[in-house]
Amino acid sequence: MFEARLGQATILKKILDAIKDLLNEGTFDCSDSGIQLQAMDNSHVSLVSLTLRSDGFDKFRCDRNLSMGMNLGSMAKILKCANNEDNVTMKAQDNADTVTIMFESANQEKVSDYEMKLMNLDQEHLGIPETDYSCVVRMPAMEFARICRDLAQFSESVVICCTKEGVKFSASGDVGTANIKLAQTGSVDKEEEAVIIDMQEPVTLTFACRYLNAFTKATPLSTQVQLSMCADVPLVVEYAIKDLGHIRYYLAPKIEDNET
Amino acid sequence: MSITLDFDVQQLDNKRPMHLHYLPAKIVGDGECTDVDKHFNNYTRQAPEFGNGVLTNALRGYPLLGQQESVPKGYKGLVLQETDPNQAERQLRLTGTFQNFTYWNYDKVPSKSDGYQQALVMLDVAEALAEPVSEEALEEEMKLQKQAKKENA
Amino acid sequence: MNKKATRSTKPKPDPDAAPQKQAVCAVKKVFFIADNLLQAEDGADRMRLERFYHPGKGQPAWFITHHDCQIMEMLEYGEPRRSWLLNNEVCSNGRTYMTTPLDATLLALHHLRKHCSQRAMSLDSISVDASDASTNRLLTKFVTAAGLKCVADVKASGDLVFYKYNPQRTLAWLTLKTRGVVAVLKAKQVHCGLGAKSQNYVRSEKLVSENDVNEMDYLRMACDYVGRYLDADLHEELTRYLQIPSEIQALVEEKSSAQKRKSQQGQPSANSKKIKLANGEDAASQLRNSSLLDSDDGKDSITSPPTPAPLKERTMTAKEKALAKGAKGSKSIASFFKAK
Repeated sequence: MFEARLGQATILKKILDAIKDLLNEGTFDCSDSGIQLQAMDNSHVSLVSLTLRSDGFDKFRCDRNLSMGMNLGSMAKILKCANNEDNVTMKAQDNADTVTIMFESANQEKVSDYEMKLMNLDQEHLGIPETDYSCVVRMPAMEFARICRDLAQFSESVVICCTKEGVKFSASGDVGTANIKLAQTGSVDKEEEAVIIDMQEPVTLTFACRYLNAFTKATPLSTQVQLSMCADVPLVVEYAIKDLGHIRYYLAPKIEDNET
Repeated sequence: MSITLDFDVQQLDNKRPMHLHYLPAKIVGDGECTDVDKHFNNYTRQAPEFGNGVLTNALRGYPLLGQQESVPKGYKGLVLQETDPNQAERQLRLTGTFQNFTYWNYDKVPSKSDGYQQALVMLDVAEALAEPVSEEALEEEMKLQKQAKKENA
Repeated sequence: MNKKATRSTKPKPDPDAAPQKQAVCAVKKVFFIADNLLQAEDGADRMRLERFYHPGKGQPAWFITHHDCQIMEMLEYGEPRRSWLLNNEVCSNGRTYMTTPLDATLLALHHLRKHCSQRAMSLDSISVDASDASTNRLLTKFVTAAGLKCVADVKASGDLVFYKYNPQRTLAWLTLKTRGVVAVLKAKQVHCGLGAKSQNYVRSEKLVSENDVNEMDYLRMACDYVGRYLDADLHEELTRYLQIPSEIQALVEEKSSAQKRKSQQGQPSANSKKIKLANGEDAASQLRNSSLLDSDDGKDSITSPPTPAPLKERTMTAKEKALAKGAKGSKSIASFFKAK
């Protein structure tokens, strides 16, 4: 059987909020190392990869590898029934076609349980090769969310250009053009406000704004976000989930004008 | 942890008001610079071609366009200085007061779309939000709430 | 040489530099302080900057207090690349610190929701577990009984007063506050729509009547403004209570109404009411059909069919349509990663 318990339902709520706009359904692969979810969005332009390590859970038990296909919208609805401080436990029997999600209030006086039917999803797993990224930018997650939101007003596409001067986000459209430049911060009071740029080679890539804004739904999960870029390779937007794992979004770049 | 604004409010009008300029440049440094009257104010000109009350000047060769601004109504402009940020009991002392200052933009006529002007709108919004709500208005709204619930049920 | 200015740096003293003469170089700050904090009744009493938990920010923030009863928020206005010239001195800190009026009840809400949702408590017992004295100080000195009455049920027992958080009352109270903000936004002609609009152009009378000033935009902005002082989940509750559709829904609505306006051009403005109604219906039915609303009836049950309906057979929600539109022109991610 499979059983996983988290002390705070709020983390799971935030995780679902971060993926339900991109993915309608997804398969949670559970093994004794933890829970993994990997799925492409409907347009096959982005890939969501969620990793939750078993040691990050209050209690974790997984006797046999188990794949649970779930409707993420339904799961998000169930999680809405929990208070942020509630304990949440996910349970499933081997070969079962349902999963049970249980919430216990902090004072243990209220216990709710919900049973959800699992789905048959045939999703192939994609292998993500190890890549040496030319540019890795670490910055405050709110800052990145703000930039994506602001630039979306100007265009469907955002150009991210990383040079030794710093990282520049640009958008141009009917309204006009917008450029937001960030340089590496010299010294900051708090580490989470820092902008750190690790550049091996300059990179310029164009991405769909709406997808970036869908990725920034994960902002509540982490104070920092890490962007990794390399020419002709999908962008990686990574949010660390404290003590638990990470959520990585891969976004394919836009086709350049001079390519077919 | 708290910071005390250590000055006597009654002393506020005793000093001569300070002359402030809001410059569109990041100056890395604090403290005495130069005779501002001689090297800066001397070159301020009226520029009616840009509009009523618009002033011109320059900083290090960069053109500045500005206008006289007043501290928002209902406020006093104060310049405060921290005595020692490392103290346990932090204190801010009064350096001076001002009621007007010169607002400068880099090569752009000051207008309603300036960030500073839009920020001032927030003062009014904050006031509206801080308005107390009367008991009657609240009861009225709750009645409407109940009615709406009944209609939707 | 000029250092590049970045968003979060303050100039910090170089620890290896030779000690500078401290005299004039202590950092100065420019403040706009409200007149009503500067009324000198008791010359010995000083204004203080204190930190209290700010629900909107999720962490303590600075507030200015006086006489142990007045409290205002300390806002910091900053733009990149600004400095002050103070008489004959330069001041690298180009920010302006402004005191703004604040209803302390908004700060108290967080503590009431956290501790008094299930049972009534006295103000002292709410802050018993707090990590510092600020919660108790906030609740006993700066929050008013009248304010608490608007968001909680009050029970008196002898000398003690107990408060229990009342969500319906709070939502009603927040609604009235939001409407107050809407009125000010309209009065100040703040542009709340989705696009950018320059403040410098004079709008012609004709355009003003055609561009029906969208009530919902004002409400959304006002609600977001009020939400800056609320716990995130309470802000969401308020948004739902006020029935504010999401921005993508508004985008879809605006596009459909723009198309309708084009076809109605040239007609007398008497028809404008009709157009609005038509828009209203579209918005409501679109909202219902999208999965943005939680349906209350049990028909939309949580248990889903074993296999998902293929996308072509289902109608896409507005969000899905928007995302699909955004996908145009991007390469396929499957082309980068091979199936295992």
